[in-house]
Amino acid sequence: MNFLSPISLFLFGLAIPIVALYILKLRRRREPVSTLMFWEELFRERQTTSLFQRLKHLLSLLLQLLFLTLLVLSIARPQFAFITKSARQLVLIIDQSASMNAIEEETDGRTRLAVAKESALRSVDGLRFMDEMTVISSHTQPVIHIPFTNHQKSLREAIHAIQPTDISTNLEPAYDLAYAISQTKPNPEIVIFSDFQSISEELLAKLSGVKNPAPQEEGDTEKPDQEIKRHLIQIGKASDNVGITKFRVRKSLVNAFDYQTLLRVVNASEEEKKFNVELYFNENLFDVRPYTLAPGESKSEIFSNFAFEGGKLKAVLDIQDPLVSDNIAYATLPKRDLILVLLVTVENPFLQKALAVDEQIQLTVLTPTEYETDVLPDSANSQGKKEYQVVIFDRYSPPTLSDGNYMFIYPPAVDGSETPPPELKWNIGEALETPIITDWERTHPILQHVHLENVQIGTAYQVTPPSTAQVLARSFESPVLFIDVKPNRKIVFAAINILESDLPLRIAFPVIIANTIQWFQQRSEILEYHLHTGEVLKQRIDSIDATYELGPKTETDSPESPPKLVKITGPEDKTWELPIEGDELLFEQTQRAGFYELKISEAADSTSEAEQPPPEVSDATEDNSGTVWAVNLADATESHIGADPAVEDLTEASVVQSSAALLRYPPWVYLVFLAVGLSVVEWFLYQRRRID
Amino acid sequence: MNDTQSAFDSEFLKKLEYLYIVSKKIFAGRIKAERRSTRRGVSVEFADYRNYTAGDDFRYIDWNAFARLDELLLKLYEEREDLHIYFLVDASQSMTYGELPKLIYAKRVAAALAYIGLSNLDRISITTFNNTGAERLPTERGKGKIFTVLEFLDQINGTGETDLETAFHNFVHTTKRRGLVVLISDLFDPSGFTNGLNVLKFQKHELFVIHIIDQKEVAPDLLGDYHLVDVETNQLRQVTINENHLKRYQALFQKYCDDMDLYCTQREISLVRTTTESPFEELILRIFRMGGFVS
Repeated sequence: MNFLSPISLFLFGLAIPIVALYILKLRRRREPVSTLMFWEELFRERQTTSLFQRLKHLLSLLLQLLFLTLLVLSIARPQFAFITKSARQLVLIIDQSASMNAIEEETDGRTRLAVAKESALRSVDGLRFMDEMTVISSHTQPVIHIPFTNHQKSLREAIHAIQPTDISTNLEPAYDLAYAISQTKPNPEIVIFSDFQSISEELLAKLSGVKNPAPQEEGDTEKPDQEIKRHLIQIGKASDNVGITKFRVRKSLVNAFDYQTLLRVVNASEEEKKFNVELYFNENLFDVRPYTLAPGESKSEIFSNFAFEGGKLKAVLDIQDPLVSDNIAYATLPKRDLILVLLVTVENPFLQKALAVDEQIQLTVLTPTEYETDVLPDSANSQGKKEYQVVIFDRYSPPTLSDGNYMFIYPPAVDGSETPPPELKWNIGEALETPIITDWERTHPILQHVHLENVQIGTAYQVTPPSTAQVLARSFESPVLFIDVKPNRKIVFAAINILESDLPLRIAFPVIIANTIQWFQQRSEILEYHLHTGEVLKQRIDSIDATYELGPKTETDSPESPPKLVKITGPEDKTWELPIEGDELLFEQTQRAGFYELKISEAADSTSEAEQPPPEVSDATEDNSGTVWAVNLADATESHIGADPAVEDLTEASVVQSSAALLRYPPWVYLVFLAVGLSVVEWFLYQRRRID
Repeated sequence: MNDTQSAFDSEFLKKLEYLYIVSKKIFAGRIKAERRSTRRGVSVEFADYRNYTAGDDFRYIDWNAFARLDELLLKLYEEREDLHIYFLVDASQSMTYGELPKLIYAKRVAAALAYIGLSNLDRISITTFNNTGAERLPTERGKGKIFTVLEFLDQINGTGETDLETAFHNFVHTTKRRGLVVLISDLFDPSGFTNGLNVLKFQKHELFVIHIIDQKEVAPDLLGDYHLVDVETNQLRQVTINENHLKRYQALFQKYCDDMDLYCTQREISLVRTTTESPFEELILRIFRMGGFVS
């Protein structure tokens, strides 16, 4: 036995005054009475126990000395080796995945995470004074909420701080981390609170002790791993769940002006399920579809022909099941922006009609003279300002060419009468008579869904494309269609005079024009504003708000103007304000499924997050600034909320030791309690004292 | 304990007269102040017959009976005599105990009863007793002797120990005439009260016991460590008293009183018990109402 404060043992000297006070006779008060005969009769009964009386007084002294001994020992803080050696180092892993949000009847309407936290708190209650504990949650990456400590209040606060998320299960990194930090501690134990609904074989091998995690460093291989006790506490048993496993939006393949939404629903229960799928646009119900799924069946469906754009799309399963978070999925429909197209031609009704078909195109038609007098000087002075997103030159070639997207249709050959643009690297040769298109790139976006067989071409010419060009269509003699892509400039070149061919009369013509316009825009078919829960949200700052200009602060900016912030409004009206650093925004707090609205705003004066009024739900159709991201769980594994049968043999009910109650407090506490008990006995003896 | 304070003042004397008037009211029509004796004498009320024996006074022979029965029968008449009331006042040291000493209270009671007795033309004698000896006021008669009585009572001091048996033996040996003995005492005799009372009872005295106690003797308010001092013997007793002891003390005291009650009831002894907190005039009236003092 050792003492943490051995100097306190000098307090045993207090025994001297105690004994001295005991030896000193107590001065009693004199009280005259008219007769003693009643008092003598009263105490005569006790005279037979006078020996006991003396012993009792001696016992009183001994109790006082023992009381002092206990108090001094408690102050000296004794440490017992056999207790210290049995100290445990507990690592609690709490599964924070989406399936832990399942609510079951067995848990009285509480989530699995709440039950897990309650079990963890019981483990804290069962912590002995010499034990230490740390708490890890299995987030996207494992998070250590508190380092090893035996301070129960801090441990409880750390457990209470674990919040529900909608991320997928990721237990293995948490277990590996727990295993690694346990190796540095004596008597380590790992306790996992989880529903164990999707356990990989590798993790199962680790949990069963067959395989240990790889050593963190090379040197660790020399030292054998110590034995670690593993406790798997299974939370929840229900498996009756239906969930959305995919909900994505893309541009329609058949209609450039429409979107397609893919919805996949799985019935992870063991019963047939009948329910409705409700689709909402900006919180307004617009479609309901009945579903009937056999046990284990999944069904995919594509919704199209949306009559709206630029808003929030939400799919809801109208069904009562344990896991609610996979019954809702979110998607964003981007707003279709108008494409400004300039057609420079003397007259080409076919081309004008083909461009007018696309509702997304805002067409401006100018003659070459008008172009050179009105547009060309502005374009030269604007230092790359892109007023028109696409410029089509029909049988015309401008004297200069700035950055941008250009389509040349049968431009005139360069001769001495016209000034060719110096940027043009192609060489136009002799005219061709009725060339026949022999080959074309069917998979290129510009020529998708296009057949160019037997196209009658009246007038064309030979052309030699630049070395960087890609030929899309050719005749026997020469390329008739090629593209040249530079960092700031895209060029489509057609070497045929379409007014002297039957191409404008074919279906292929408007398709080629539309494809060309779309290719210039290079719009992704799979929309980007979609994430899985837990993924990092990345977006260029200038794409959040087109009015925001990147780069260093200019002199025109007021030095007193507040810095800009990106304000993010997430599910449940939770808001974050992130300072803009660099060109790209990185946001990691995407643990909950839902919409995340990004806006650029000016920093408020030290307003805290709690004081912020709840932001109003913005209508993206009315507010052009900012972007909306959809974050979904959409994980088929997570929707199967039933426990993995392979884990059931490894699970147990509790980790609270039977000796926990006895060793909950250090020895000095018990010594103090014992001393107090002795003082009570001594008080009793004092009160029961009789005649000497 | 204050035995030096005067037991009698003008207020007390007024109360004496008041008590006398009240006593007359209570017993009006029942008694005439005189007490009829069991002895046969020469009064006018016929009592009994007996056979004539030689030497009897011829005047009392019932000649009518002789004519009818041819037997000489002598008429007997009740003899009227004055009642002798003996007050035995405990003058031991224990009677000085209490905020109002029991001896003061005893003096007042004795004086009140003596005044009523004198007013009824009874003969009054007062004897104090303790183990150091006895003082005696010779027999007095007549209302005018009340000041002699008061003077005697006033000079009594509490001292010595209580020894009832010895004191009562001395009393009966010096008192030939039987009468009403009024014993005023706390009866705290370590050898018990029965032997002393038996002495009086065997001498055919009518006995009236007034038991005076102090409230602190009934329910002492002592808790903790004490040296208890017996005021009569100066004997010390070192005790540590707790609540349980106090309860047991009260039970013992109550048993002592109950034994006394039983003893007196069995021997037709009138007993009245009072604490010094109770006004003495109430005690006097209580005595009158219960009877026994005058009948």
